[in-house]
Amino acid sequence: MPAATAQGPAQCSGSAFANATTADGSVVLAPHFAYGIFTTSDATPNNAAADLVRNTLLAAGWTLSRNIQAVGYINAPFGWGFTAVYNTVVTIIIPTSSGPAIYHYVFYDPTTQAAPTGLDVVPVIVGATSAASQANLLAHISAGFGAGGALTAVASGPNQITITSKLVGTLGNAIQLIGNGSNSTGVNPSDGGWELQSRTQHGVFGLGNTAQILITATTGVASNRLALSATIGGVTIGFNPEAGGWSLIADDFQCCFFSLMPFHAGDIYVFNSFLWASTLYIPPNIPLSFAGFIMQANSVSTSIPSLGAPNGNAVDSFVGGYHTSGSVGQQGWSIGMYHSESGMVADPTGTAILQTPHVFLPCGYNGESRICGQLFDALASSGPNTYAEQFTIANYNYRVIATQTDPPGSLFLCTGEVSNAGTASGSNPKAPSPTHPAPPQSAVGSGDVSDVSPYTGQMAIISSTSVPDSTWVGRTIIIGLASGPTSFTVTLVPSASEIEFTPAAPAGTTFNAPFSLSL
Amino acid sequence: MNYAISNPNTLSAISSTSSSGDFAVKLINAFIAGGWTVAATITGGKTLQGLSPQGYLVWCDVWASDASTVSIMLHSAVGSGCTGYAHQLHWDTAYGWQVLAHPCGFFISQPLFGASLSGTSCMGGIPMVAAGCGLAAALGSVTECWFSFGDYSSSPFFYARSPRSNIDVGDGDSLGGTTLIGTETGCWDGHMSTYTAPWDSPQILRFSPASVDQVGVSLANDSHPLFFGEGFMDYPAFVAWSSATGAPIQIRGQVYNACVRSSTMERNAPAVSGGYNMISYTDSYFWGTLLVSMGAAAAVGNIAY
Repeated sequence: MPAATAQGPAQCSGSAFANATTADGSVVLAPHFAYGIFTTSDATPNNAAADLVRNTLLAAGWTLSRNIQAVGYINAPFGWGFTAVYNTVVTIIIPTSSGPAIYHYVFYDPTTQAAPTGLDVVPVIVGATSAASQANLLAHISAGFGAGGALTAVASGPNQITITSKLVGTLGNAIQLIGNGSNSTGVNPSDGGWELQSRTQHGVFGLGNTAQILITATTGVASNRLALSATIGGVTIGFNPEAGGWSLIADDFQCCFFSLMPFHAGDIYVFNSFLWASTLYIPPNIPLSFAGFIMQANSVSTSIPSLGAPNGNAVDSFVGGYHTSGSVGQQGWSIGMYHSESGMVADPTGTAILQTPHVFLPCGYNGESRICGQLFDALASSGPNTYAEQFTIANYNYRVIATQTDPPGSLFLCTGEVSNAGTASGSNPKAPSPTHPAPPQSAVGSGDVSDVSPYTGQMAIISSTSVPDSTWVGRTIIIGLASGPTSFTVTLVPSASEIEFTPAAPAGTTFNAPFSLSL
Repeated sequence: MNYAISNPNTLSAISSTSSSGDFAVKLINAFIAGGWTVAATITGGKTLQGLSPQGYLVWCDVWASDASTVSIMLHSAVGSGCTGYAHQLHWDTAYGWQVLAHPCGFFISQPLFGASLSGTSCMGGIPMVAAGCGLAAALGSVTECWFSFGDYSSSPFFYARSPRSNIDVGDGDSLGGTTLIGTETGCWDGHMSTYTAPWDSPQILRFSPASVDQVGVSLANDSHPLFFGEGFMDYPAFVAWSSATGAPIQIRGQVYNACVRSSTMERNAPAVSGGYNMISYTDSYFWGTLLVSMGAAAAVGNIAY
């Protein structure tokens, strides 16, 4: 047997064991980050908030999957009138880039009356019956010009016309429908907004998580607050954020809405203070291709999102074809971490340790939860940090989106911002600092993140010697690849620490690192 | 994060002992076979010295304390005066023992028993002190670090929890143990661990859902820390304890020649992890199993010696 001799410190590189959890934690980075701030109110329209949600998610790599058209109504509760009617039955105002376009639809009887004239007047022949009058009005409104260029009109009853905006998303919410007050009323189009879809990981990471998220953001006419919904696996969870200031953290595979004003004991509507929809990174050792969750804070007034402590969260989880709603504790959603039942797990100096955030989800296995994947862009801390508090780790900002004291722990989500940590109640400038070092490296597996982007045609920054800026755009870079194109035109992705290449490298291409870019 | 593998881990089987004194002699020989050296002779036994790859020292007294008991007690080799608990192994001529030892650690158990009131298992030694790797480097800043877990034979009703029954000190073992204050020993830089509450005691950290254990209410409300598809997770065997009641549970280092597997396994079950042949030291703990290396170095992994 070799003699026992004192040797130096243990190595930090390499790992002899599969599935090892590193005490220092590792981050699975998504290609894009985005961080947005918005305000929703009980008293004002929320077009701006809905637009910010759209813009933030687009910046995070999501796609606009659908324009949600605003819908309004013109009602004639006592009928549209006939024969002798001569009046403005409805006025439609369409917002345009050059100002409002106004259309006064005026009934007249050509057998006894001259066609009405005047600024913005659209003459409409009154019918012999109310139904005939409605049909004539419909024909004029739906014409492919005038107001008809911005909306469609269909009869939704003998005394009602439904107006659907052709203007995309929230733009349609600005259309006005004004009745004459005597025999017609207008209900302005509303709830126009956006539907966005997260990216699939299929074919990218391991087996590839095929789960995707749909987020809708509309103005919420019913609540007069921003209306959000999150859908995974065909299950939709509606959400009306409580009035106030909000933050939105997003990457390609998840989005987290949380109030910048944490609620306290005695507050109500805590249920509406937090919404998080996420699809997981599924390591190759997990035979799973669909995993995600939608989480809200629980309805206990003093609770804020936890890492799995009972009563901390209300979670819908989706694993394969298995959907579970509302399970809590160890058999529900929770973060896996080094665990002791009382005090905080700490390093030799008493400092909290950061860990890879493995996610337990109920998945139909004898009622127990199983580790179904990891969170993107997140770290689990063994310390019970303050909700919404911010930290700078490896030069990137992380915000605490969940915390608990028993057992202690908190969950950090990377905002994509760089070296500008704010406070729990204050937000940060959105733009990254002019210069910053490389993003945090992943220990999950070579080629997963950072060093080589798994995404076709995209590559993360690997060096602090150069930061993408406008000077990168349009340049041609020669890169040695095993196959595929050898020259690329660079396109800047301003919201992320990333450049895109055109044409795209073939799927599965790995760059023959190391190489450098001289710009 | 590498693992504190310092093979060879020498296996000695002990059987057919004629007395507690004979058992003590054979136990001492097992330690010496594993790389411990004799520091002194004491009544009924020896003081053995363990030396870690990082240069840390500990002394371990092994002696026949009465006609039916062999005691094992770690104490300071650097003059701090720190003394660990005198774990007790009940001797009977019918008992067989297995001892895995390396130059700064040991794992003693009876193949036929998980844990019992009479004292059937003991493990301890010097851990690999954190030298970075995401944990604050403590190497060189402390004068000594050692730990031990073992049975507590004074109680007529309970055995002490140890990694033979639980990797930590929680509920969930299948054997009905309890945490008895003072049976887990930890020494850090000349200070003994405190024992005012069970969860402050030395323990091997487990990985599990970050929710309060429901085992006190119903074990059926907990979840095994397994991957979807029932795959297990192997992770370092961090030994940790607090410096004061309610204070953070500070990681002191890794148990050499061991790791934790997140699945429930019966004692003595064979396993392979990272290319090493291992054996289950823990007997049917809900949240995981301490695996111990079974011998010679393999071609892969982190060889500390």
